[in-house]
Amino acid sequence: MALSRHDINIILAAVSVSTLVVISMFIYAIVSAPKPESFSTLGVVGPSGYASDYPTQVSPGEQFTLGVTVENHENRIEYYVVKVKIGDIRTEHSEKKAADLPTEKEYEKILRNGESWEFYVHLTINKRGRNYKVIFELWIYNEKSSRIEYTGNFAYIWTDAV
Amino acid sequence: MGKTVQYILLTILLLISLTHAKGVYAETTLQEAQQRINEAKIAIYDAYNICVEAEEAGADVSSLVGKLNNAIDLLTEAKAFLSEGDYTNAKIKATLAKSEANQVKIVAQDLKSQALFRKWLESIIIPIGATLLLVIIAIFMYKGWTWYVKKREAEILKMKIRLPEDKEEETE
Repeated sequence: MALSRHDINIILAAVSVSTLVVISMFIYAIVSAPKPESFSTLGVVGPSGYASDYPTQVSPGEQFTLGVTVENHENRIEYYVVKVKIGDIRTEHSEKKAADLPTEKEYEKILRNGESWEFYVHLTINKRGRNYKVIFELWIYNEKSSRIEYTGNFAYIWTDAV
Repeated sequence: MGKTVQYILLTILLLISLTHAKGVYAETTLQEAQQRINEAKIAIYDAYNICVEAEEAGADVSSLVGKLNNAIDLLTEAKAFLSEGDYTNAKIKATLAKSEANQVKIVAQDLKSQALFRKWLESIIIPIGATLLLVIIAIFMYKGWTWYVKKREAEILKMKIRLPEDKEEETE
């Protein structure tokens, strides 16, 4: 049976309305879908893996160990760099500004989303003194700027070298 | 006596030239090791960039992340050798890191292309399929409606007009 011009117009109108409805539903679903929060975490623990056993006192020239944990919840792979710096009570640093100190040690790893990275850092303070601030900063490689950038995540412990 | 002086002078000259030659050799190796480390670092960053792009395109880059981390570890070892003055091993490790990163780069590029093609195919097939489905549904609805209307018309045409006299006849 051949369709008349009137019939075709009706079909086209029905298809157009249905297409519009489907497209609107798709757009609504995309726009209203909640985006998962993205963040990274940095944590420092003592040599036995607990936060309670930080070395609050070390011997000058003697090696001490700290555990570091980094977690990726950025919903993508991320290139992390952990910088370890040793300062004192006058050292200034915040979420916006990294400590202006030389990097004692540097660790790099790429993590998948949801993956965590645990490693131990062995440090030595050679000079006798009090209130040493051992700072751990989390940096990431930004592929857009092709630079390693400070994330604002940091952790530190106080220790005396006596 | 003259010959002894000549021998001594020659020996001194030989020693100087050997020391000089050794110095040039060490300097070149250091430069080479540093250059190779820089090249490896760039290769790792490049490979990472392509991995990010591939993941954004929808590819699974889990296995590549592991290989890239191996390259990072090799680079760390290369840096350690460099700081110890072992330029030969530094160069070897950096070369291995660069090679590993380049392999990741090739595979990531491939995965990215495949993922982009899949995405493109989906972006074509889904709207075309949805439109076709809608057209089919619309045609079926229209045909169904016209069939129903015709059936109803046929039923109406089959109906007879019944007068009150006919009803009386029937009762008699």
